[in-house]
Amino acid sequence: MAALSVFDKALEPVYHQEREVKYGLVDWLTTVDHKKIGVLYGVAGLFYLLVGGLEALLFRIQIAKPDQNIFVGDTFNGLVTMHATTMVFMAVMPLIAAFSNYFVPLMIGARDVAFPRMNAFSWWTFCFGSILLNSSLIFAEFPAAGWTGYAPLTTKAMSPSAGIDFWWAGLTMLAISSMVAGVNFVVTILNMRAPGMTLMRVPVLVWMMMVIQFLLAFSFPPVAVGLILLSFDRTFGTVFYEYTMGGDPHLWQHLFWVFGHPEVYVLILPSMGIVSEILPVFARRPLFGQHAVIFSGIFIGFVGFGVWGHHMFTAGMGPIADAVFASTTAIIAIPTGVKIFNWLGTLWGAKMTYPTPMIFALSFIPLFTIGGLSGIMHANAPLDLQQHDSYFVVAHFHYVLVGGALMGLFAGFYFYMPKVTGKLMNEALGKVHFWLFAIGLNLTFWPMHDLGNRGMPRRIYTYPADAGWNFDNLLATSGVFLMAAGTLVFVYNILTSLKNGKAAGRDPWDACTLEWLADSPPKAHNFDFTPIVFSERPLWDHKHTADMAIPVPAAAEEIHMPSYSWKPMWVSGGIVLILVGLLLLHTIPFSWLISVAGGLSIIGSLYAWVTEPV
Amino acid sequence: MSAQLAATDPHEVADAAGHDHGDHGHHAVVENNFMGLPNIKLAMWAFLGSECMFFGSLIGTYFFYHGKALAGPLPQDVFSIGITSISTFLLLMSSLTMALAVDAMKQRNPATARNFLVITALLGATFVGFQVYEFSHFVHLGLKLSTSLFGSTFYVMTGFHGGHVTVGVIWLSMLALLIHKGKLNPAKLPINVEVAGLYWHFVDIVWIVIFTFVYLLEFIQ
Amino acid sequence: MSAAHHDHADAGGLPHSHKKAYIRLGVLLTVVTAIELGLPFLKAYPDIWMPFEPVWAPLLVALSVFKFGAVVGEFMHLRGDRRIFQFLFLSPLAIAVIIFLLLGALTVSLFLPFGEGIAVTAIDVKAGYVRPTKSSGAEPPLAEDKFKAAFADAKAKNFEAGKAAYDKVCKACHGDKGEGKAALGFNLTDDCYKYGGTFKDLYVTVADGRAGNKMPAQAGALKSEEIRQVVYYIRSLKGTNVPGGQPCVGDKVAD
Repeated sequence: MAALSVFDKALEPVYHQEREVKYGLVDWLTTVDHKKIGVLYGVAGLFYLLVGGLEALLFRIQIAKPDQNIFVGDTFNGLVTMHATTMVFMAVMPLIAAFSNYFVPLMIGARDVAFPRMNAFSWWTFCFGSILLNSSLIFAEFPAAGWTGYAPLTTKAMSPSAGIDFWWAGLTMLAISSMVAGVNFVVTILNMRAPGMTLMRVPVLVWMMMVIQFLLAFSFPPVAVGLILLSFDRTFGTVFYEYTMGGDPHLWQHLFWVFGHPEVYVLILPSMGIVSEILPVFARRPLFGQHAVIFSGIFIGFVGFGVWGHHMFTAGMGPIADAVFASTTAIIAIPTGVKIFNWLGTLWGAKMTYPTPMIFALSFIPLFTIGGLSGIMHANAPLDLQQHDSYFVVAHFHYVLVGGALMGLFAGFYFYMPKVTGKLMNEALGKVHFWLFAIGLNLTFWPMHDLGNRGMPRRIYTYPADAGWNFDNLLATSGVFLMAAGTLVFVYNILTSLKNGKAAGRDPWDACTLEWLADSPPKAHNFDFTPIVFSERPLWDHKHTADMAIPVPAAAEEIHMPSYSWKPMWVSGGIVLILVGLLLLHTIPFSWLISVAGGLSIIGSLYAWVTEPV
Repeated sequence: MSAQLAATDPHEVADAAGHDHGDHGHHAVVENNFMGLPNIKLAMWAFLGSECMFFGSLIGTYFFYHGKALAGPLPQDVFSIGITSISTFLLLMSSLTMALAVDAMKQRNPATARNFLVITALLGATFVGFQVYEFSHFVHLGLKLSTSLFGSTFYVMTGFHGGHVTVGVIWLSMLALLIHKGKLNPAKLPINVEVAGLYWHFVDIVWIVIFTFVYLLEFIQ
Repeated sequence: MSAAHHDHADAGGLPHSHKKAYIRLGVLLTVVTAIELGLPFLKAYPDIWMPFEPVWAPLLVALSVFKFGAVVGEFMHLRGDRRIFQFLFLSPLAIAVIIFLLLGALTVSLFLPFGEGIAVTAIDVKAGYVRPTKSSGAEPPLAEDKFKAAFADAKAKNFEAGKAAYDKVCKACHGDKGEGKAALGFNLTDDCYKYGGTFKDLYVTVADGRAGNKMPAQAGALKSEEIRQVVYYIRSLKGTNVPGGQPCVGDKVAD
């Protein structure tokens, strides 16, 4: 027993609550505060947005003109792969996580998420996983099999370099991070709403976040299995994807796309939620058909599990499967259309103002619609046989992802940054960012429709000068520079506004939802008292309707905030050790001991986690 | 309008040896609880939902490749009804003892609950022992991970199930230990044991699926 | 605080104990499992087994669904618990069942023990395939060509091994070239098969024998890999119609 108390003492936590907002290094490393974690995700997401953009810039320079030799072969493939992997998993998803972490608790009137330490664990697992993935450049090469990593291309025989090993290991960590966060936020949104906030009074953004958290929790496991099978093939010699032993290439595709399709709804629904929050504020109108918008999001989430085969129309699934997936894909366009019409309905006849968040949100509608229209074309299986693996697809998903998701995220940044920093952002710079970026993205991605129609395949590092693709490619590359410039202006705006921005106050936009009730930036405990909600516009009621004001309780409440903790980082570190041991299995002897050490450290850290006082 | 944040923290109470005697959350925590349900139980059910997708993928992969092995021993060459019966029975009984542990905890009987947790963990560990024996026996018969699609799919699927059982054994053992040492908040014990029980029963029902579709259907061919 | 509505408190303020119900259920589950495990032993009694052939597999599935439901509903207490728990678990379960179990089972041979597999020895293509890099000028062989070569190689190996097994075990009754011998063995070189000509049918014939025509079971004499190879060899004999062969017995199979 004595030995155990020494052990306990060594693990004794520094028990103090995160009640004042402190910003030292250790505070950032041990924070369990959803707001700080949101900022961490936001900074990481912006950083990787720049990295992914640079990767795109580099390879677009290569294909700006035919017959160039700047980045060729696997170097080119590596840039393409990392561009997509970075953008999907390390830029857009953490930016979504930033909004989710920072604002979901505020918008539902809670003080934090359901499991604050698990929340920190998700952050550290993402952080270490993204570093592990990118370290492929240092220790091997960039993975070069596309962000979809199709087997058998990713088998050891076809991709002997260890880049793919870093890829599956990093992605596994990112998958764990998202699955855990998914469970955390589902519980938070279900169970930690303020009194009176029934599900239909929950803001649209929070609803969309809830839908995507379900999608993350339930769609990541299949790709986790796919990655595990791949890792076993590459590390232990199993034959899941080994076609000479009967392995079927369809297996990877099914496992990947059962995840991959819900994933794209994960990428777009939050931006749709942000747009649904911003348009009403600057049109001074409630959202038209709010319930319809919510139900459309729910419908998209569910049916999204039934359309994955539309990525496999050329894989030879057979006519029945093709027909089924074409039908379900066509059906899922309907709720998207419902949302668009409801936004238009919100704006119809409204007296709008046009600060930066509004113009980004407005631009979402036409840009996303363009992407949606090319998407409907892809839903048509015979047509897709021509379009698949051509630049037409590249045009489609960039319009929905950049013109849609990213524009929505930018809108959210401008809208919510005053709450986070307490300072308004510079309007003029914001408009410069918008125009540079909007023109740039159209310059880049519109010509890709034409390129696809003229037969340019994806993922090629050069093309003959007489194919007729030269002008469009040059145009596309020029647009990238504009987008880069716009993004740099954006970063500059953030940094200078932090220093010199005008004070924002609590409610700079005169909005309707609870997050604007908190201070800017919010106190550590968010709200001094728990708000009580009577409608889907609690702040509006509070400001304008005397009998629906948020009551001040007679007695002061005792507020207990969770305390700082190192344990989440330790558990994430343990996972890194396990993976590193596996990655080195064929390189250094006894590397499996590293994995064992990782496992044991996880058990120890979890013991400390469970027994530390919160 | 500002709340009165306690000047000295009533929760930070430590004795001379540094042991924490804080109230571990017995105080009035102003934390919303809209559905009136424990967060941890909601989280566990959601997690088990995602595990359905996880094991669904693994078992689905087994089906996908069933009958397509090109080499090596086939299921009928290696499966043994004897070992399978014992394993299945053990895990089934462990579900019963787990349910009894949860029940004992709800009856405010931590000692009995702890005992049932230990029995459950032992049954689970024995199950894992049988799995290890079965695996080594199959390797003897010429079925390795790399031998064929059957080898790969079988070992990975049942191996991950066994891994989940192992995690459960460690969890239940730690829980029993912590109950024994009184290191957990007594008010939270019933829900903690219940949630551990949910995980354990899930591991059992995954085995029911594997047992039926992988072993039994093979035995009746 | 938990709202399980049939946990009424008794006089002591504690919910009723479910111990008896759990033990009863445990016994029931054990009995069901014993039945499931006993079923394969019925195969030794073909008079009982054969008439109900299509029933056994669905019966096993039904029994396991019952056990699954019992553990989830009772031990995990999902039945009668709050709807949100049911939603959180049952919706992904439904998605998993539909996507993986149903689709996987429908598209692949779940209820057949084996498909048209070929007994090959492991083919090593790890050596020899080089991904093109900037520096290497040589064009590596196409994967497809490598596979075709490996496939042809495996076919040849199979043929040899199958013929060797045939000579060892089958030649005595079915003749050197498969033409058959009167009262001993059928003609294997025509298109007629009394017990079916598919891979599976032939496999069962060879492995388990056919009592009706005194074809002995070869499962003891040949390993399963050898049985597959000899079936492959026998299938290659189909349609060769060696002169002087035994007359056609059974149905003509077009294949």
